[in-house]
Amino acid sequence: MAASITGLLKPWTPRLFLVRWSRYNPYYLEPEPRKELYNIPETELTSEQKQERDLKAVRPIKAATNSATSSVFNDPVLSKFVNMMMRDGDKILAREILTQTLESLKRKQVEKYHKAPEGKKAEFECNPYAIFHQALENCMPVIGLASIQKGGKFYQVPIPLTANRRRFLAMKWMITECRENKNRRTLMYEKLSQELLAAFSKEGNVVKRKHELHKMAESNRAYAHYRWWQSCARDHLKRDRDETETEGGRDRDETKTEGGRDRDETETEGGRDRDETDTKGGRDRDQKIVGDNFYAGLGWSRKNLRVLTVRDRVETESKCNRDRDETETLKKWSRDRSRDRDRSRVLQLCHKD
Amino acid sequence: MALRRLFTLRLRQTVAQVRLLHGSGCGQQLEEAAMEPEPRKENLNIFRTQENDPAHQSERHLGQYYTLPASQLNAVFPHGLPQRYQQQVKTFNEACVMVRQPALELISHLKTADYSNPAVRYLLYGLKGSGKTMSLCHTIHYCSTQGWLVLHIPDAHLWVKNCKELLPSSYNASRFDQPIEASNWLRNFRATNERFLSKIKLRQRYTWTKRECTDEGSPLGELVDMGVSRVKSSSDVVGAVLKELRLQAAELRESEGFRLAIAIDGVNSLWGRTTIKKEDKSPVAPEELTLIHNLRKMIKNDWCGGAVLATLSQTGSLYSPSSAYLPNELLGEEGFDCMDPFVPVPVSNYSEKEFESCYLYYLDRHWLQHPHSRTDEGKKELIFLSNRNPSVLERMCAFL
Repeated sequence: MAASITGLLKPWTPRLFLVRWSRYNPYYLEPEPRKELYNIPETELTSEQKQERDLKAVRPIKAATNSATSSVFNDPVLSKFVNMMMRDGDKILAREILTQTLESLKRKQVEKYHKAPEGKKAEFECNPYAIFHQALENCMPVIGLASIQKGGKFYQVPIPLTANRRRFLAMKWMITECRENKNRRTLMYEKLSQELLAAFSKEGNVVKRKHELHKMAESNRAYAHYRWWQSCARDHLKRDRDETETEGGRDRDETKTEGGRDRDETETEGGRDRDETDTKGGRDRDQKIVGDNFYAGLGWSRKNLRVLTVRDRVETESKCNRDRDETETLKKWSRDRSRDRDRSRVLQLCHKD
Repeated sequence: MALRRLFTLRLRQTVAQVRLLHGSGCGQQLEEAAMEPEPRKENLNIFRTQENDPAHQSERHLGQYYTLPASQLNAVFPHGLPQRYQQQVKTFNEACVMVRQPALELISHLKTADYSNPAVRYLLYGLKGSGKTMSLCHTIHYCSTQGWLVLHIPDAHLWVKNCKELLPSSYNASRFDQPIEASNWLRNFRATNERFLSKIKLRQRYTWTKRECTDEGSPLGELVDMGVSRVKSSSDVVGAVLKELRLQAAELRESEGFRLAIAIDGVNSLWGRTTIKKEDKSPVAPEELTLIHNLRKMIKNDWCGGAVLATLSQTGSLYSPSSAYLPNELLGEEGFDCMDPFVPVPVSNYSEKEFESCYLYYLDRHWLQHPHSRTDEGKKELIFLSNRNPSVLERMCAFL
């Protein structure tokens, strides 16, 4: 047996392949369906892209899914929505419903546009994709609740949500709202188009549900310190880069009254902070990673946040600095093989002697 | 008179292509205003024509859209237009029809035909979604503007399937009546041809029941009103109306100067099979239905002073394969023998010029909203996916 990790990670399939828990060997690379990336001339490739291209020459590539297209009209958010709407694997029907929804949205808006007088025409947003994305944005919650057990009781603790989780919740709420709370006889595309238009103008039941979640989180903010884990730092960094203004603005609207309350809490927690002086430097660096803008917008100060240990800091920093998850997955994979590796190392040593 | 045409930035590329395709005889100068922020109100778009009268349209206007005025729309087409086109009219707030080769050919035949000879049958055929019904509607518009009497059966397939009420005919015991379909059709017929109803007088006395009868010499309008109000005998009324018109078509042409046009969409249903069942669950043959029986008599070319415009349609047809679109496949032997001789008019997918025109029209009406659909890449993808088929393109642009 070869000694090195890469030797073990050659494209290998076991003789007996259990399909239920099967997954691709991490050696395989993801397929790239987007056409524009292949049209970049040699000179304009960055070093990263050159590396990837060289890697593709030697590594095998996973089979592309049925939904991967090189079409210019491909939208990953819409694909995700279709998958979430799908029942019993009937993607054709789910896609049909989505296209009918987009058509119905467009028809309503274009009709209003053509009937409106000249001055009012610009008010109507006719692009169904823009309406869809904006409506989804308006439905995405900023903060969520997690059920954490402390002292035998379960508390609903407010936690920050990752971008994926927010998007998932927005889509899930939209679909369940249209399936359950609407008239049974109306067709799904009609229900969806009505709800999307309402969400676009920040009305409707889904946006109401989001506001209710925010209110719950606000009312439970006393338990915020029960959260002991830190959310994925990279996600916050990315989110802060993308959405600083909009999020800050949105949160400022919702949490105007929180400033005074915040000041009371900081006084009581002053004592706790004095104990953890050794990680002060770490705390500052943590705050940078976690993202001041997000919490500042909520009216929470640093005092509310649980201070992390040194080991957490190191791990999160290294996560940010790493280019790819490859070494991590390799580590995970090789952990299974560690026994073999050790054994082979022992063998090597024996052979040397 | 040289007309100045101004175009916006995004139309520049398509204008270059269309300029080569359009052999415009007027010698108009096409100027591109790259820096012009908006086109002026009085400019003429390359895909529209101001010639709204089908009689004056010629090859010059091929590929261009002409507008049907809203007043005429309800009068001429209470029931004739395809479903998706009606939705489009509602959305765009205007009814625009493209001038295409099959419709122009049909109109030129109608202009040059001799109406003292027996009626000529014209048959529009083509692939699914290629524009047969719309060409037929264009021709019907021409006929109405010329003052013809138009008998438009919007979809003959609806008469041979999904019949809610089937009554045994009072006139002939072996046949069956369809009161609902017949009364609907009579209502729409009355809406289309108001002005003729008082002019045409009946030649025969019709007795409906022991107490009711329509006398000789009374206007056709009375008969039609009776058919609409007395739903039970409406199928026989339809038969009577068709018979009267057939008998009087030649004389009316000489005396009053108008001609008879019979437009049937989905004529292959007349000789196919039906899905209607009798009470003992045995299928009804098409000739056992009063409406179909009378229509078949109309299609026979034993009358003068008009024309029969027919369209084949696989979409609503029963027991025919979806790949069939040619006349002998869809009409069957019996149908072909009845229709023979006819003038076949093939309808094909959009040509490049027509596709350009359609694309520009959708852009103008703010229908293509996806940012990528306005690029070259998106346009190529549309051409590839739709194969320039009009209905497929329309459905695709609906969600883009």
